[in-house]
Formats: sequence, C-alpha cells, structure tokens
Amino acid sequence: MLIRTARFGDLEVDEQSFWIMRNPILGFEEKKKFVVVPQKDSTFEYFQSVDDEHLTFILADPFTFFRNYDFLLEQRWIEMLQLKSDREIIIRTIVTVRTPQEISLNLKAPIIMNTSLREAAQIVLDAPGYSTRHSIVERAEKEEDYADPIQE
Amino acid sequence: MLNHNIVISIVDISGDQVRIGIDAPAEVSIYREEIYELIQQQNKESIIVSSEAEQILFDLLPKKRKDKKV
Repeated sequence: MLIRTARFGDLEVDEQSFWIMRNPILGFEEKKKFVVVPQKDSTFEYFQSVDDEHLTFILADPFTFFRNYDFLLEQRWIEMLQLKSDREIIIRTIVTVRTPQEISLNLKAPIIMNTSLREAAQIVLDAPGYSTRHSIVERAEKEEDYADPIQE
Repeated sequence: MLNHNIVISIVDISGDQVRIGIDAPAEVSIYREEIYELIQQQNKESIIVSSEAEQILFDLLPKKRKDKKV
C-alpha cells in the first residue's frame, strides 16, 4: 500500500507492518494506524501516521538512555494488548526535541507494542517518579551514562 | 452507571476526602484530567514540525556513537 507522507514522500508499506493503536497517542485519538520508519545508524526511529501525512513522532528505546527504567505493566494493559509473553513486548518512548540542549523522553507515558499482533498503546504510568520530560542530552554526552557498552 | 458497562461508586469517605471507584472494561481508559492534559500537551509538542529538530537529533547522537568506537 502506498501511503503519502509530508516527510518521506510516498512510502510503499505492507499493511501487515502497520501498528494499530489500541489506546491512542493522547490528543490524537482518531489516528489509529502508524508505521515505524527506522533510521540507519540511529537510536531513533520515526513513527509516521498512516492517516495523516503531517503527523510524525520520533521514538526511542528508553532503556538505551535510562537503563534502570522500570515499571509494572498493569493488568488492564496486558489484557488490552493481549500480551501473552515478555518476548512479544517492545517499549518505546516519544522524543521531544526543542533545541540541541533540550531533548527529552516522555517516560511517564511510554508506548507498549505487541509485536505478534502489531498493536500498540500509549499508557500512562500511575506511579510517581517518571515525568514527561527526562533530558537525554547529558546522557548522550557523558560516555559512562550512555548505554553502549564500553569495552575495557 | 455509564453506558451499561461502567460503574462508578463511592468507595470511602473520610473527613474531607472521597475515594471514588470506577469499574470499567479493559478497553475503556480512565485518566485524571490533569494527567491526561499533561500527556496530551507533551505529545503535541513532540510532533516534528521542522526539519531542524530532526537534524539536531539525527546529527548529534549517532556521531557520538561513532566517535566512541574509533
């Protein structure tokens, strides 16, 4: 299927690779279908709406920057996404870029993805401790905090 | 009761605090309004509107990784 995007032009995408939002990206309730557009040699990937050519988010694997990121996935999300095993889960967070000094991850509301069904949900963590803006700039600059293992 | 499948009940009243219980099917998402607005706002700020933002991201971080491997 050919999808039109403002950012990447026309993309030829297999419908089987669509991600269906079972729980929406909040504020974008009508946008149900997305595709992941990976970037070569990058930690980041695009999350492009199939329904809206102008709607593009950037996703990151939160564990790349926050190794100790940890939360309990509530039963209702497990049911909603019909998750049967850990191996079916991918966790991503939305990246906000303001300036080179202000790049953050929204750890409060991660996106949980079921790789078997290709269904996803933005969830909101009830537990305190995580906010919508965790800066990754310092973490990317300080080698010891960056998740790439450094061979001694 | 809302929509035949959502039950709202008062769980507890103590002093000036009221605890409200909401029993709803899994497909119904329930948020505190201020949390919903916070997340919604953050999401809206995260849409890429300029190529400047992506340039910042895709330039800065991968370069650091390459430097390290040398």
